[in-house]
Amino acid sequence: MTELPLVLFTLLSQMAAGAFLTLHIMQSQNKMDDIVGKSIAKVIVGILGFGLLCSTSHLGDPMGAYRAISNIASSWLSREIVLFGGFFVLTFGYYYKWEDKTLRRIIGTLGSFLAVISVIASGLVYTLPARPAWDSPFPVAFFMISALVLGPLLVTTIASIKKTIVCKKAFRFMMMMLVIDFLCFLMFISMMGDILSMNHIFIVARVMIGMVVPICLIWWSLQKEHDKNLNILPWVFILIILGEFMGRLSFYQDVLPYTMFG
Amino acid sequence: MAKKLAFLVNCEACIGCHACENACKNEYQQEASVRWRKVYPMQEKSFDVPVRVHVSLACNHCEEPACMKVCPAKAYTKREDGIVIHDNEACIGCKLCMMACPYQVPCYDKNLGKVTKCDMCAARQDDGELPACVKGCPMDALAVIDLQEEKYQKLKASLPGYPKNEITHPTTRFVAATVGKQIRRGEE
Repeated sequence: MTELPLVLFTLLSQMAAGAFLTLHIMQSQNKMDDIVGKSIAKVIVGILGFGLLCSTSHLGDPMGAYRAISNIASSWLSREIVLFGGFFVLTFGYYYKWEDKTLRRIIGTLGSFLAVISVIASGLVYTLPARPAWDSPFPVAFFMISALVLGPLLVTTIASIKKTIVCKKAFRFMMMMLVIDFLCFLMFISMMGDILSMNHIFIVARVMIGMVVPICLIWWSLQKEHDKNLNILPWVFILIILGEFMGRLSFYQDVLPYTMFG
Repeated sequence: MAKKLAFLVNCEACIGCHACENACKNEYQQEASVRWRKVYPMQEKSFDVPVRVHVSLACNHCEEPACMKVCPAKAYTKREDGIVIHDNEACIGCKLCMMACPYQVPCYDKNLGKVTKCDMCAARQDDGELPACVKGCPMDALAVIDLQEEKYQKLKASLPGYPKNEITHPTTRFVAATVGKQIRRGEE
């Protein structure tokens, strides 16, 4: 569990990025109540802030965290920190200037752009030739998919708690992203299986809890009327978070380096 | 022209006694789990016939160090003579260099909360002394060479089971062990 701070940081930052993007799109299309939207923006600021704090706790010298932006010229980790730092400022501005609709729209557009770039930078941190399983487009793809699953899920779950109607389009989008996630994961396992140290039971549990069961639940709820959809969301949220948590632990622990004379 | 310093590892001479590791630890008094130099036994299957070969490795002072590229705190620098130096003061202990090095060279010192690694005893060399590991080897299996010199150009840059060189272009050079010929009854 030594990588727990990184697991939390990547999960929360990607959730915040996806949620910001979702909120901005829904706001731009007038599909989100203003009061609910503001409370979602507040949650995003909190989640991202907590995630950034978590990221410093994995450092041997947390007080020296500010030095991590010294190598923007070549280090993706420096770039990631600068980008997520900028994204945090914009999310705060988005919430703080919520009442000013013009400014909110400008900050929302800039923030959405930065959210996407930040998640890509996060993935590129791990695209390391020394770790053959990571040296591929998979880290960026997994992080992007996570953001696009967790973000809309957070927004719709909060909306459902606030008893706001959640459109079926959001459910279909989440289901589509989960199916893509499932296919990507299968592709990753089939291509990289021999350079991972994954436990088979863990793989099955991750796929069932984080992908298959939530896909079935969302599909089942799509067959129902609008107000019945809402009850299912907190459960789907918990399952997907559990699955993502397991997936992220495995991402850090099961990727093997090159063996020396092995 | 500036020197390009590198370690020369003579596998023919190495007996796997770990004296180089001990000399290094004795010089720097590191935390128990930190090993800047490691002696690896090579797999017998790497050769046509079963032989016992050891390889003593420390930092490869690569031409394109992955540690230096990924470090967010600019804790790594490459000297003009090719030695890759790690600055403890700048290091924030993020351990990304440990993930990026194909040769598992940087070590995390949990007492310091920082990563540390071999600097080819740069301070000793600047004083005209040999690195501790080179001095401590009873078999003269280790040396520091200048890769600019023509006589070292043809040395091996890799061994069976060694991670591929294209990633960081390590400067360590090897004298491979001579493998005997297995004679079976009835063979010429």
